[in-house]
Amino acid sequence: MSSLLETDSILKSYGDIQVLTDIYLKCETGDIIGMLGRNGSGKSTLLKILFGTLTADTKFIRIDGKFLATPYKTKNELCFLPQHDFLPKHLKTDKAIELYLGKEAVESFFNDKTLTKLKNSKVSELSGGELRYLEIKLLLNTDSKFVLLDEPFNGVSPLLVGYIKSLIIESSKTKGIILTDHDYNNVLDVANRYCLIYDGGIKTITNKQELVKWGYVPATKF
Amino acid sequence: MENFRLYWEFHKSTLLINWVASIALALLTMTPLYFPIATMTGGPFISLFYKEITAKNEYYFYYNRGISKINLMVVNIILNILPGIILTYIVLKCQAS
Repeated sequence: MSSLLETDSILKSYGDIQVLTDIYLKCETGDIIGMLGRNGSGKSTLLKILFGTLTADTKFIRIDGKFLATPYKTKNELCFLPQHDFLPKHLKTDKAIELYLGKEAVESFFNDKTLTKLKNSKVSELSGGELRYLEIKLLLNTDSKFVLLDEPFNGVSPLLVGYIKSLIIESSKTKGIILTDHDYNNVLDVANRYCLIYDGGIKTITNKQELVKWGYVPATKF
Repeated sequence: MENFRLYWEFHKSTLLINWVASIALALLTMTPLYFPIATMTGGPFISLFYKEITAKNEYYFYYNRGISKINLMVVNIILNILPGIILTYIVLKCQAS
C-alpha cells in the first residue's frame, strides 16, 4: 500500500536567524529523496522537525491525510537515523535487533556478510562504519512507512556504502526515504528525486548543473 | 509488552549511576536509610542528568519506537519507587530490631 508524507509551512529560526522559510516537501512510498545543502543550511534541522524531536515556529505534517503534531510518537509512521550513533552502548547487537524487530527476525537479520560476525557483540565494540550499517539496516527493516537518514554514508567504507545503497533501494519498494549527506555523488546515485536547501527554501533539482547554479558544488565538478 | 521491554532496558541503563550515587550518599552520611530513599529521589535524577550529558543521542533508540523522553523518565522513576519502598521497609525493620 502506498503512503504519502506531506509537509508544509515549516518555518524555523534560531534567534534572529531564519533557517527554514516556508518549506514544502512531499514524499511517497517508492521515493528516495536526496536532500542536499551547504553546512548550516538546515538539512538536519528539517529532518528533526519532520521526525518531531525539534520544535518549529510553524509546521504542518501529514501522513496519509492524518495531521501529526509529533510524528515520532505515532508508531510505525517515521524512523530517523540521526547524525550520531543512537544504539545504546550497553546493549548487545542481537538484543537491540530483538527489541526492534522481534526474536524471530534476529537470525535472518544477521544472515549478512558484514553482520554475521557481529552477532552477540556489544554495540560499544563495533567500529563506526559497522555500527552505522547496523543502524541503517535496523531502521530500514522496521515497519515504518518513512525513513529519514541523516548522513548515512558518513564514516562508512566504500564497500559498506554500496551495501547501504542496495538496502535503501530495496526498502524503497515499501517505504518513502529522505536522506541527506555531503557525499553528494552517492546521494545522486541512490536517490530518484533531488532537492537542495538554499537560503531557507527548497529547490527541486532536476539535473546536476543546477547544483552548480545554486552554488552547492564548484563549476569544475560536472 | 514490546514497549515495556524498551522501558525496562532504559531503566536498567540508569541503575548503575543511581545506585552508586545512592550508596555514596548513605556512606558519606553514615545513614543506611538514605540509600533506599535516594534510589527513589535524587539517584534517578543524577542518573538521568548523567545520561543527558553523556548519551543524549541514545534517546533516539526509544523515539524510533514511539517512546518520548518524558515517558521514559516517568516510567524510570516509577520503577525505582517500588524497590525503594521495599528497601526502606527492610532497613527500618533492621534498625528497629
